Amino acid sequence: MSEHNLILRMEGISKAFPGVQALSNVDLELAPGEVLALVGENGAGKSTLMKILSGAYRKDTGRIFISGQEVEISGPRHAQQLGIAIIYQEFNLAPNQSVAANIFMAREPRRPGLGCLFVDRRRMESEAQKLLDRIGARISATTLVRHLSVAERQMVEIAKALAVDARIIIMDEPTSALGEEEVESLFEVVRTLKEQGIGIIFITHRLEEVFRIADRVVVLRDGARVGSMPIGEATPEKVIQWMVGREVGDLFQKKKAEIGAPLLEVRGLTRRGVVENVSFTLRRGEILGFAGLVGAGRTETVRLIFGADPKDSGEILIEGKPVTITSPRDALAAGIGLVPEDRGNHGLVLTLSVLENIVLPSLDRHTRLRVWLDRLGLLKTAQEFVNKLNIRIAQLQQKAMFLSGGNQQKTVVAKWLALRPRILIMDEPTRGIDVGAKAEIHALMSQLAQEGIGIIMVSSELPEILGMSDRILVMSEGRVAAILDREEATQELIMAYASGEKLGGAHGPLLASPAAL
Amino acid sequence: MPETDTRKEKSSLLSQLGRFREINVLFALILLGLYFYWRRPDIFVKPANLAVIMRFIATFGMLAIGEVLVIITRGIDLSVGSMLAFTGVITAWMMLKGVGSIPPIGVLPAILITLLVGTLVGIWHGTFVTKLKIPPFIITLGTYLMARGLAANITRGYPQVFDSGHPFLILGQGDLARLLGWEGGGLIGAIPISFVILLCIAVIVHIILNHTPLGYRIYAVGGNIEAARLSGVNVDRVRIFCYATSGFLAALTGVILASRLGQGTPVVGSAYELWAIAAAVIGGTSLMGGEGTVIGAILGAAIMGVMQNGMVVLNISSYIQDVILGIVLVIAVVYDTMRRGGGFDFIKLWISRPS
Repeated sequence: MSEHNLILRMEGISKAFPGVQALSNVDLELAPGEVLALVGENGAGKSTLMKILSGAYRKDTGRIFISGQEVEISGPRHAQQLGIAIIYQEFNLAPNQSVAANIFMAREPRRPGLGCLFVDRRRMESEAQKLLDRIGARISATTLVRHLSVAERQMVEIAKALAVDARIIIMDEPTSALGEEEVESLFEVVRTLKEQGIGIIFITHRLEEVFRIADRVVVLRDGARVGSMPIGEATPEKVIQWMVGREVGDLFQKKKAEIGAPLLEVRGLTRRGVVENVSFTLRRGEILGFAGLVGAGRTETVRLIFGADPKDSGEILIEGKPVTITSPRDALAAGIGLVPEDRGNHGLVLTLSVLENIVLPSLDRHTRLRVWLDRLGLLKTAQEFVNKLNIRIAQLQQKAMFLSGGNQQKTVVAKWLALRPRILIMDEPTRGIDVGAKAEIHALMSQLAQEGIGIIMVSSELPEILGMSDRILVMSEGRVAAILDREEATQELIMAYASGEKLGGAHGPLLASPAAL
Repeated sequence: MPETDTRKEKSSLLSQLGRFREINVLFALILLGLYFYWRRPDIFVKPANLAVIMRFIATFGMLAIGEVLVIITRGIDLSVGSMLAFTGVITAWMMLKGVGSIPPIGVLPAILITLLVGTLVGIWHGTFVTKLKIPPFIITLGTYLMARGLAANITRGYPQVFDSGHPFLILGQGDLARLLGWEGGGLIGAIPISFVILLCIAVIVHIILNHTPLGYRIYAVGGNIEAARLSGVNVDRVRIFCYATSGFLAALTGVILASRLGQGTPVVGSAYELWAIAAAVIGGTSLMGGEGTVIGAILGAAIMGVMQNGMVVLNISSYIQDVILGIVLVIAVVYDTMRRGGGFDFIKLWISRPS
C-alpha cells in the first residue's frame, strides 16, 4: 500500500486529559475501500482517537493527513468538510421528521430562482431516495424516522454521511443494538460502501464481527497501539491477547452450581402481538439463557415477568405459589430483580450518585419508623456491594454518569443484590463492556448461581449463551421455539430454532410439563 | 480502624460541602444586602423594612418550594398564581358569607377546608399528568384559567372584605411581637408570622427531600423516571405527591395573602407563578429535572425580595425594576449553565469554527 493511496494517515497522536494519558503516540492509516476494525477494551482510547478525527477533541501532538495533505481539524464542521463522518451509537435524528428531511437536515435543497427561500421537497426526497438506494437500504425517504427500526435508523445515518460526500465513515459500535439478521444487512451496506471506495473505521466489542467484515484489525490498549494485522493473519485468540495483554484461557468461566427445586414457573405468558404463550421453569441455582433474534420477544418477555409492561394473560408461580405481578414493585416484593438491556436509560439514574443508585430499590429497608432514612446503614450497604462486586469508584458519592460501562453495569447488579433477590433477570448483561469487566460479570453470575439464585440471562451473543447457560430457551417471533440443554445446544441448532427454520413450537414435548425439563 | 473511619467521615463532609451549590446564591444575596445597606443604611435595615422583605420572601418562598418539588420531577405548575386568588376568595367567602344555606364558619375550619381544596387541586393535576399523560404545562394552564375565573365568578368581581380586627387577619398581618404579646420586641418581634410559617414548611420539606425514602425517590424520578420505575419506585405516587404539595402550598399562601390584604379578591397573585419559577431557578433548580433544593428556593426568593425592596428604597422606577429583575434571572441561569459545563462547549465550538 503506497503512501499516496491512503485516504487517512494519523501519525504520533497523543492526547492527555487531567490525570490520564488517553492516547500516546498512536498511528492509524486507512486506504480507500478498506474496512478497518478498531478494537480494544473500554478506556483503551478508541473513542478518544475517533473524537480527535471527527473534530470533537483537539489532539495534543501528532499529525493528520487526509489524502496525503496535512490538515489541522478544528471542529466537527471542519471534519465534515474534510469528508469524515462519524455514526454514533446514539443517533442524532429527529424522530418526527421524514427520512429525507433528516438526511438533508440544514442542507435542504432549495427551489430554483426566486423560490430559493423555499425548500424543494420533491428534489430532497428524490435525492434522499437515491442515497438510500445506493447503500441498498429498503426505506422510503418519506417515512417518518420514528416509524423506523434501530437498524433502519442506522441506514439513515449512513445515508446522511454520504449526503455530505463522506469518504471516511467511522462507525462506533454499530451492531450493539442489532439482531443477527440486521447485522447482516448492515454488513451488506458496508460492503457496498467499500466497493465505492469509502474507507470505514469500525469500532466493535464483538470479535466475531471483526473477522466477518474487516480487512485489517488495529488493537489499542491503554492509549497505545499494540498491534495491527491483516485479517487473514489474525486469530481471535491473538486479538484478545493483544487487547487484554494476557492470555485468556477460557472466556466463560462457568462454575458448576447445584440446581435445586423449581423457583419460578411461568405459564402461558402473553402480551398480544409481542409475546405469545411463553411457558418455562427456572430452578434454584440455574442460569437460563434466552436466545433469539432481536424482536423475538425476549426483552418483552422478561419485562412482562418483572411487571414493567402489562400482560394480557399468563400465570407466574414462585416456589410453587401463584403471585400477582402488575408493577415492578410487585416483582421486587416477590424477590425478582431486573438488570435491563439499556443500563443508561433504564438501569441507572445517571444524575444520581453510585450510593443513591445502589440503595434506590432497598430504601424501605434502611429506615427507622419507615420514614427516617438511616444514612449510615445506606453507606454500609452500598460499600458492601461496591466491595463485593469490585466496582471501581473514587467514592460512593461519584455520579453514575462518570463510570465506565462495566462499572455502571456492576452498579446496576449491585442495586439488585442489595435487595437479596431470589431471581435475577439480566438482559444483555455484558453488552458494550470490555473483556475484563465481562469476565468479572460472568464470574459473578456463576457465584450467584452457586448461592442458589436463579438467573435468566437474555443475550444476543451466542458464545455467551452457550458458555454461561445451564439451559437455553430459544425464542422466535414471540414464542418459545425450543428449550435446549447445555449439552445438546450448538450455535447452529440455536440459530435454526431462532430463525424459525426448525420448529419446536408450543407442542414440543420439552414444554409439556416442567417435569420434562 | 478508627483512623480510616474519621477520614471517611471527613471526605463525605467535604463532598457534602461541595454539594452545597447554593453557596453562590447565598454569597450573591449577602453582597446585595450589603450594597443596599451601604446606599441607604437609614431605611434598609429598619425592622419595619426587613419585615416587608420577609413578607415577600414568605409569599414567593412558599410558592417556590412547591415549584421546586414539581420541577425536580420534570414538571411545572402554572396554576399557583390563580390558585392564590381562588383559595383566598373561598376562604374569605366561607368565613364571611357562608356557602348557600350553610352559615359562615369559623376561621380554623375555613382555613383547613381551603388547604384541603388546594391539595385536591394538586392531586387533580398529578393524576392528569401521571395517569392520562397530559403535559403538566397544559393541565396546570387549564387550572390557571379556571381558578381565576371561578374566583371572579364567586365574588362577582367584588372583593370579600374583612372588618379590621377580624381574628383571621393576624395570620398575614401579625408578627411575633403581636402573637406573643411582647412590648416593642425589636427585630425578632418584627418577624412576620407568615415568615415563621415559611421556615416551618421549609424545614419539613427539606427533611422530606433529604432524609426520607420519598425524597430520594423524588430525585430519582426527576433524574430518570424509567430507571426509577424499574427500581420499584411508585413513580405516579411520587409525582402526585409533588403536585399535591404545590397545590397545598399555593392554598396556604392564598390564605396568608387574603389575611394580609384583609380581603379575598380575584385579582391577586397575577403572574406569581412565574415569579415563583424564577425564584426556584435562581436558586439553582434545573428545569431539566433531577436538581433543586429547598434552601435554593428560599435563597432565590430572598434575592428577588431584597432586590425588589432595595430598588424601591433607592427610588428606582418600577418599570426599570422589572427590567433589572429580568436581567438577574438571565444572568443566574447563564451562570448556572456555564458552571455545569454546558455553556463552555458552545463557546468553544464557536471559537474553533473554521474561518
